[in-house]
Amino acid sequence: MPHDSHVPAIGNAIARDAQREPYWEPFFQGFEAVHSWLARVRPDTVVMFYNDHGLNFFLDSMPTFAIGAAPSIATPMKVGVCPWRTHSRRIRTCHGISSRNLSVQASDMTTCQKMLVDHAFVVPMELLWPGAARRVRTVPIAINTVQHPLPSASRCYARSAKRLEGRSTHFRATRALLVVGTGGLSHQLDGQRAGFINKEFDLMCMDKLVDDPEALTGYTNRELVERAGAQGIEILMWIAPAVRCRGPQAKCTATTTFRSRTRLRDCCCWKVRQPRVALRSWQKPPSVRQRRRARIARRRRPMINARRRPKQLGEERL
Amino acid sequence: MLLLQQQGQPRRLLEDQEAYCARYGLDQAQCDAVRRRDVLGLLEAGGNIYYLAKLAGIFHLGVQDIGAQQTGMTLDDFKAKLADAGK
Repeated sequence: MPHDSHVPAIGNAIARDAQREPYWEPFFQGFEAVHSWLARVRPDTVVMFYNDHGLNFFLDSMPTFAIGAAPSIATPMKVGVCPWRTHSRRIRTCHGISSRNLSVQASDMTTCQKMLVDHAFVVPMELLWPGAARRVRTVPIAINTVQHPLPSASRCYARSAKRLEGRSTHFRATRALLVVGTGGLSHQLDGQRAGFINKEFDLMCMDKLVDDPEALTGYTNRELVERAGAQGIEILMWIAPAVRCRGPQAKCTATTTFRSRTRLRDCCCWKVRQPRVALRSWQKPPSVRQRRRARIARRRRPMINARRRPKQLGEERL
Repeated sequence: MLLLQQQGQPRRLLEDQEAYCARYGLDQAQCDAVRRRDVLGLLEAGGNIYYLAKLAGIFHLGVQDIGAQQTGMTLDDFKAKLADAGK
């Protein structure tokens, strides 16, 4: 696999262990609070909204939403040597079989049985779990912010966040599900306006993401580009997972990330979705009686199935 | 996957730009812009910055280099501008 010549500076800093350098220290320190929070909630599955920067998708066929559905995904990046574990087997078995499950069809997703992920995916993973990111199962969801027409903010919000809401029970095996949005707030790489940054807008977005994410869905993409720059449209990835990102923890996280981003714009907004079923079993192990009941239920299941089994051709004659 | 990122492609581009551009059917304006490393010209010719950044990388130009070029600033001025905007 060739090495991507455009590894962003955070990835480079991680790769050469520069976290304690004076330039980088304030940035990486911002994540210490996040690490202790993650140690407390212990998510073991992460849904990552990110955008592909021309590694996996080319302009000739650009999916609006794409989900990694292979058992593992690879990255040619320096940090986080491939392959990454994905939650894809679960997605693959669920999708198209039951409407209860993470409905890939309902979200108009392109399913990718082969997928490469770039810095947009790898860097946040390494920031959240330095050196241990591969222990976490992932559900990569790429949003097109590269080639117009792009999905609107309201569509990202409706399609992604609300779909995830209440679907956390599909991840029964998980202790807690973490949903991450990654990308830059205001920035622009191209044209005479290159280097554009709108700090007021960024601060407003950070507040809104915590308190009232739906307010951000009122912007059209044109308005977002005007206020946040051509690549500031990556805020779509922040809006997608912003479901009821409320409470002191969320706020603390948001501000931490913003402080970090004064040096470099590559940020995350996260929210733990705690599947009710899974969390209960994690917090409190089942009692002896519950386990016995479950065992009996398991034994009974084949009998029920046998009774409901459609009659074979020969049986009908009998 | 982007063709330019495949093994051997950057080398082929650097060895003979003209032939490389001709091989993939770039028109005159696009070839000129590649030759001049002119990012604004490449955008004008239909380029997408996410992919042009990779092309620039092959020519050892970073994102800040191309930002400075497009805005007509020196690299240091451009960096200072970014730092000021974040303060």
